[in-house]
Amino acid sequence: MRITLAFIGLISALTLPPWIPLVCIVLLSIRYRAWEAILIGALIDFTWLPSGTAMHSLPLCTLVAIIIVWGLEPLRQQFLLS
Amino acid sequence: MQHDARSFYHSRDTHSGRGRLLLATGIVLLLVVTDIVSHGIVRSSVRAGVSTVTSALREIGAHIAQNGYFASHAALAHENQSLQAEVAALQERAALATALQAQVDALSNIDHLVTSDPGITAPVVSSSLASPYGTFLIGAGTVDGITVGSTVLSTQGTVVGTVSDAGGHTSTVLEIFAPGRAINALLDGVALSVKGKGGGNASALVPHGLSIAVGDAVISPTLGERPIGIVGHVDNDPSSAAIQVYIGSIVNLDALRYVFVVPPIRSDSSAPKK
Repeated sequence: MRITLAFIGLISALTLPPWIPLVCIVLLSIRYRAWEAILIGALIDFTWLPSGTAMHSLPLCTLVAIIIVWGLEPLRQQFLLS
Repeated sequence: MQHDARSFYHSRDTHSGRGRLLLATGIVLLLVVTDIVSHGIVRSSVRAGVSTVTSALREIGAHIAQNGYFASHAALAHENQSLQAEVAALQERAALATALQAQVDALSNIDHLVTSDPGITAPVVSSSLASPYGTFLIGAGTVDGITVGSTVLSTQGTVVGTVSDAGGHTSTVLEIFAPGRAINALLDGVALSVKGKGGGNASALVPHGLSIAVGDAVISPTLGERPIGIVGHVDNDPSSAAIQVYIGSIVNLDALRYVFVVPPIRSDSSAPKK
């Protein structure tokens, strides 16, 4: 399941609308300590982020992925890993 | 005893999982910082690879669509896409005609002619749907003479976007109506600031008293007096201080296969020569 979600997330980051990789990031982060989620966020930013204004240069997807993965850590620890 | 052993292994797994996550976070943050410091070296390398992968995925998708059950579905989708492209082309021609008429009127008072800049044709190598930042990739880069700030046009000559990053063989185009992007434009001869909303949509506020109609062309004076969009809806609320105008992109970005890239327009080039 983890590999499938990561694969879908990585492919959709390049070809499908942004909400699909976001769903993959959330699903991965809810169930696993998924470093792949951060990779998906970084791939989106490295592929699509333009240079220029400060607002456009902020790697939002990477930051969102990191926040989701680490933000859900207490939940995982409480309900899934114990 | 058994419980102790289980908790020991559980603790070890927990630490190892957290360690991997921490390591991944550190590496990604390091890459992001390296990319910012090096002005996009990491991005450039990733995009070169992505360009190859997306081209391969497109070919695989085309092969699947041409076989078996998907063939009839693909034929209908193709017909639908062709009709949409036809409508978009007609809209584009109408907007272009309006823009050209305005340009002719403006040029009739000027005693010199502006020659168009040379440019190159480049293929679109990525989907415009996938980017959350309103960007897409084209298969031409600095090797082909593309520079940051170059204007990207459709084959008909309307503005699609500008080059935000130029790699060796791949460049990133920031759509004209990318989310949060502000563009100076002219509508019915009035200067206004158009704010991009993403997905080929934008909005602007114009003062009351103008005769703005759906289908009017919006022109960018900073991008060679070329049309950038057409008015899709006018929200003329008398209680509001200004008219809210909703503008749509003339070009259907999904249907774009090739674009024409012209060098950046210098501000002094538009000034009349003496």
